[in-house]
Amino acid sequence: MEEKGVGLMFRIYPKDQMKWFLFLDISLFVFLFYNLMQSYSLPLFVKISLYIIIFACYYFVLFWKDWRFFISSFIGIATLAVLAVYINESMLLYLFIFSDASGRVRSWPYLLANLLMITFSYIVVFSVTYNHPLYFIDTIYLPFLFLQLILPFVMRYIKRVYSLEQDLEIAQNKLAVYAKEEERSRIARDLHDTLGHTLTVIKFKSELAIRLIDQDQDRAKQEMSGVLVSARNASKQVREVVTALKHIKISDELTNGFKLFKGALTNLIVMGEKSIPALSEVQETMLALSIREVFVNCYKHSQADRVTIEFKQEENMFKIPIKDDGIGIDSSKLIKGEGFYSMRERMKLIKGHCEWISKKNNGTTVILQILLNSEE
Amino acid sequence: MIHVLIAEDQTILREALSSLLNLEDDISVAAKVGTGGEVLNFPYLNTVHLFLLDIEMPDGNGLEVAEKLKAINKDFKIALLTTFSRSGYIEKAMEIGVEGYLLKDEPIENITKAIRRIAAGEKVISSMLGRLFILA
Repeated sequence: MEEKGVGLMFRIYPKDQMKWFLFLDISLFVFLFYNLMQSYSLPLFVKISLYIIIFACYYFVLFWKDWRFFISSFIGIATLAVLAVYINESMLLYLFIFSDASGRVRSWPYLLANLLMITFSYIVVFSVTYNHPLYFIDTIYLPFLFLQLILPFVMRYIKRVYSLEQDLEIAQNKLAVYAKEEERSRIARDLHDTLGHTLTVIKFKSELAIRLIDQDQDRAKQEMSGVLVSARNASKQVREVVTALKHIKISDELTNGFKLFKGALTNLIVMGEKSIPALSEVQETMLALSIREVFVNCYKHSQADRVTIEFKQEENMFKIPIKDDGIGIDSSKLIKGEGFYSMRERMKLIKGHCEWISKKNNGTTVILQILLNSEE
Repeated sequence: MIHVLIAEDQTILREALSSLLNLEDDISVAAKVGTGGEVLNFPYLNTVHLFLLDIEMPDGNGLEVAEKLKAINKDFKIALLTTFSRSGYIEKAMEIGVEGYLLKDEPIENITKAIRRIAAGEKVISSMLGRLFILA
């Protein structure tokens, strides 16, 4: 789609709702217009006015989610009820316009009020036209009412899933930016601490050699061979800085976890952080990366309200059980997953392993464990 | 003759610097030490005309040592000699009131010139710092 087109659409229809609702809304209004024009019980002028009123109410409902939503949907529903009485009860079908719209309102009272108004319209229309308020129960209108009442909840669900996906993307981008920043400052620090010193040595020794060369050639030569050694060192250090494995701390990963779950309204509970033993840089990095993997999986898939991570030492085993109370995962899916594979590889690298216990709808527990003092 | 004490934890660097300074006719290295503690334990503090201190040293970094020396005798002349990179060092050095803030990366001529000027009672801040300040 061209950019111009997007811009125009954006102005006449809320962009975030377009994907799900636009076509449905257009269809409803096309049919409403057709039905109105087909009926002859009202003068054309009245029909057009009522059509405009409904359209205006729909538009307000689309963009406003506060008290104006309530007023507009009330007027809109009432207008449709009037049309149903004067033209035909089939006009009640167009209440979909407002039941659909109420799925996008965030406030529960407005949503419930809207559903009550819709139900009430049916009762009023059928008591006027058939003298029996509940007559619609015996007609095809019952399933339509049912659909109108559940549509907002379906809409809500779709929206929630959609926005969760967006949140996840935002969170992941943030994490990536953060990691990049860390990496940059690590490189700067390492360069200063190693290469900076070596280059300073080269500078001083060269100056010394220049001064000595006329008076004491042997010493000047000595200094120059020192420069050579340092220069070799320098290139070695550059290589080291570039290839060095970045040390990731468990505590940093926990901080990232808190940030991540805050967005998902999940509680992260950390227990026994003090019993993290002294670990080598590689061990700690591998554990931290595995913890990150588990956190991200919980965040993406588990729908958990609570995630608990515990650190404990049992004899010379260091164990990290990570539990969630989410929907669980099928183990066949798990083994195929790339995340699980890389986690197992990481744990193998530090002579540890990971277990994964999960039951459907009964949460997931991952246990990371390593043998301490295994290097000797 | 200006008597200089050099405190620098890297041996190669310390030796090269002291050789360079000893080549000057009017400068002599009175002592070379590798930690902050050794500076304070030097028995002839009063014979030193200028303390040339590295900042990043074990057992008392250059800034701490400078502060303690100033507490012993505020007329001690101190110059910090560093690779400059950590922010906040210069501010801290100015606060302590050191006489010089020099960079290891500048030409040795600048360092010896600065040593002479500080010994004569001036304050010297490396001219390279102005540039670095802007860059930072």
